[in-house]
Amino acid sequence: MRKEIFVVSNNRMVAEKYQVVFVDGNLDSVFEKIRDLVHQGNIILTHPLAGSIKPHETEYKSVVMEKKEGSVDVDSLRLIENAIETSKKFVKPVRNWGKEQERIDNDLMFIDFSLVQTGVEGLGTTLYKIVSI
Amino acid sequence: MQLKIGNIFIDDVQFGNATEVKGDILYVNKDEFLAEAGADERIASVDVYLAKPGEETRIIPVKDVIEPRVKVEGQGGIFPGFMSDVEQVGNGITNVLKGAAIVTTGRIVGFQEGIIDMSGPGAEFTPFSKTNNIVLKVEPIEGIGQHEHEEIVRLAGFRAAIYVGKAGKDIEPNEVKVFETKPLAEQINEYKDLPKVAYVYMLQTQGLLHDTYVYGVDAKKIIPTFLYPTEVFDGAIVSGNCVSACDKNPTYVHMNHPVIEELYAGHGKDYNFLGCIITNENVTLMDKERSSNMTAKLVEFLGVDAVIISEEGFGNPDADLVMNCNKITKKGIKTVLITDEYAGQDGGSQSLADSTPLGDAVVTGGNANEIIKLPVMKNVIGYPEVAEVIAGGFQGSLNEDGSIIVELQAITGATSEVGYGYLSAKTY
Repeated sequence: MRKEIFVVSNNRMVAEKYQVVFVDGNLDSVFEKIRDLVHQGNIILTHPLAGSIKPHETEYKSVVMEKKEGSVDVDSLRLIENAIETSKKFVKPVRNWGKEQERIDNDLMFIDFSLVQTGVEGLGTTLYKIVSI
Repeated sequence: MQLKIGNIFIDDVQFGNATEVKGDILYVNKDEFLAEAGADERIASVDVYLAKPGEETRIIPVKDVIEPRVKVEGQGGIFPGFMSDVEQVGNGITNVLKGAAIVTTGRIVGFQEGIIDMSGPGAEFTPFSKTNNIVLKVEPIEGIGQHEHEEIVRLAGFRAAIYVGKAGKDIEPNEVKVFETKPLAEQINEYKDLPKVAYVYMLQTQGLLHDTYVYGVDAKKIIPTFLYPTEVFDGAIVSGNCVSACDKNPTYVHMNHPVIEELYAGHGKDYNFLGCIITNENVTLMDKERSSNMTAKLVEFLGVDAVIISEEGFGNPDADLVMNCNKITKKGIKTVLITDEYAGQDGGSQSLADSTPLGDAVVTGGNANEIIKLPVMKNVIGYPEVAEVIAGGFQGSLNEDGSIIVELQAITGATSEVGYGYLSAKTY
């Protein structure tokens, strides 16, 4: 039986393509949601710090998880706790993109989308299927 | 596999009637250069500028830096899989216009990074302030998506480098360096009393703007494999990585790989350098497990005593670095890791997003969060408007006088994770 996976995201562009656990908030809210899900037994499948655009340079974040209940996966917990710690040390840039706002926002959403798409395609459909939770 | 690198020293670059090397000056025919670089129906316009060491010039945003090289003898051509077929490279003779570089600039996504200052304090942090840069600005036609835009700029840079490199084909080099690695059994035998070492060469491969190619193949789709070290000197590995200016490896750095050159320097004297294992840095943990397992297996199979492992990028690749370190060390093989740090502006935070007690020999390329003030420059090549919105900047980055305060991460090559830079530590 294929393992069931889902995407946690605050990115509208990702939500349009995949069924997601949508987080209406910033990067830290996504990480906190993932931490909650890890404590419920779910497992992280794509690295929370995927992408070299630094935390807060972009607030968009999408992570693929495996649906599971029961004991906490220690590796997942370590990953998300490290990601939360890493996010804290980056200064939050305050920027006014002006008339470029929409375009830049779209580009950042697209890069996040591309990263999660790489992840979903990398996992493939032989072992995994996307579900909603 | 033996490769002779013929370095032709270039001290200046100028526009001229023909693209040729005369003495230590590289002349470039502007029209021909633009026609070659712009030969893609998806390009609307190309332009070219020169940026020389010491000038008050800023290039922003830098996408890639490429060295002009040409095959003089031997199989294949420079940038196999892109600019030539996929024959094995890394043997014969390759001439290099040493001191010249092609720099590409393009506005691929809304947020931008990658600064090269040709003088001032910023110049001290990038190796490309010391090269005579031929800067190629590429504008695609309307309606091109980001993936394709990145590809268009990348390929234009390669075409430009190939075109310029040809000027070195019939020139007698100023120096010739010989690099040789023999087939495994023979190589082990040659220096059988010396410790055997290999290089685990990690490539950034996460997705759009984060990709690297090997013989034309997207490296996130490879299973770790073996390369003769000389293959990279002919452009077997190229960068499609536009993010994280400070610690990405531009194509130029792959072609001049300092870890490989340094390993060759001690080859046959201090140790026996057997070759490179290339591996990737994908986003899924499954890929990370698979690639690190394969890498550790290959390292074990080679029978080496020690490896150097370098990563490219930050965050996600830290996990690959740690997995490679753990799995190789547990096979009884010594590891030395090369990385850089994101330790906060005061340097007081934990440097990496992952760690392991087995990583007990680590070299750092520097703290990418460190602050630097870049003064106003007379000339700005590229897209000066993005200076206000560069990555590594923060509130108050742009001063009233036009100078900018940024973190080192905005500067191309500042904290190179293969050591192609100027940061070093001194004890007093």
